[in-house]
Amino acid sequence: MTKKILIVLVLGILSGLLFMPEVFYENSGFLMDIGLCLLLFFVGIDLGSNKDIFKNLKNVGFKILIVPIGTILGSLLGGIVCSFIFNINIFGALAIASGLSWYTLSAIIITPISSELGTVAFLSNVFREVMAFVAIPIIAKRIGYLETIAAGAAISMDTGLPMVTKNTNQEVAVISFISGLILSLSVTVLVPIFVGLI
Amino acid sequence: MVFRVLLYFGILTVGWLLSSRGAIHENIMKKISIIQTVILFGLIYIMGVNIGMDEQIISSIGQIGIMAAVFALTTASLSILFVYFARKRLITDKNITGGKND
Repeated sequence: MTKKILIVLVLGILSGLLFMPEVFYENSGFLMDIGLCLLLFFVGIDLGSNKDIFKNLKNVGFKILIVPIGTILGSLLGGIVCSFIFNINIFGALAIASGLSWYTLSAIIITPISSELGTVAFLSNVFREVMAFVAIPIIAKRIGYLETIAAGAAISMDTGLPMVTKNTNQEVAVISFISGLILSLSVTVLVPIFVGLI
Repeated sequence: MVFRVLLYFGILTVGWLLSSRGAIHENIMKKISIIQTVILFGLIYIMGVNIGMDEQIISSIGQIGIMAAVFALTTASLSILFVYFARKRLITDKNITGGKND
């Protein structure tokens, strides 16, 4: 999936570089808004088809909230650290960090404000997903099961879930799905908030 | 900003409610993954075009790549660290924590 996404991205970049008319660039924000709303609608449909979400949450207990909360706080601190490293707007850095691996959503929201920050958001969240895939088996073995969820963040409910399940156990798989859901919902709140503060 | 947050939550909720009440046709449910992938690729393509048409980004892509890698490494590492210290204090069930629990 990640490879295909990178191919489509490169094709888009080449199209923009070589032959795309200026009028496309002027209307791209509108096109992205429509696409994003459609995507969110289908994500909602996907979530609604799983009847066990709330049952699982009740079975595991509220202590699992330390996973999404810790993941969010760690990412936000990472954003603050990076804002000092690269001397960029702190809210811009926090918006990038709030992507939590959901590279499409974070980059689409940030790009209309700043194409440069949108690109960093996209690439950094793609890199985070790739890094998580590589590191999850090592993290599960050497650090702990719950930390595998923190590495991938929002992907823990979809693309990262098979990796977490394979390297941990059923209980952690349920926690991974629920944490991923909470983290994904957090992205829709945190990124627009920080973008609004830039 | 508030409008956008409400819009995203609203659209997610509408999709969720329609699906959980069985209002979505079975054929659509079967094809939902493909539909999402097509929309996703469309959005990524448009994003790519935006990047390709932005001269400022193209001229600084090397620097952006490094910045993105540092962002990814820093945010993921600190997230792992926060969860590690929190679960050490709050969760003792080794079946859930796994790894080195001490």
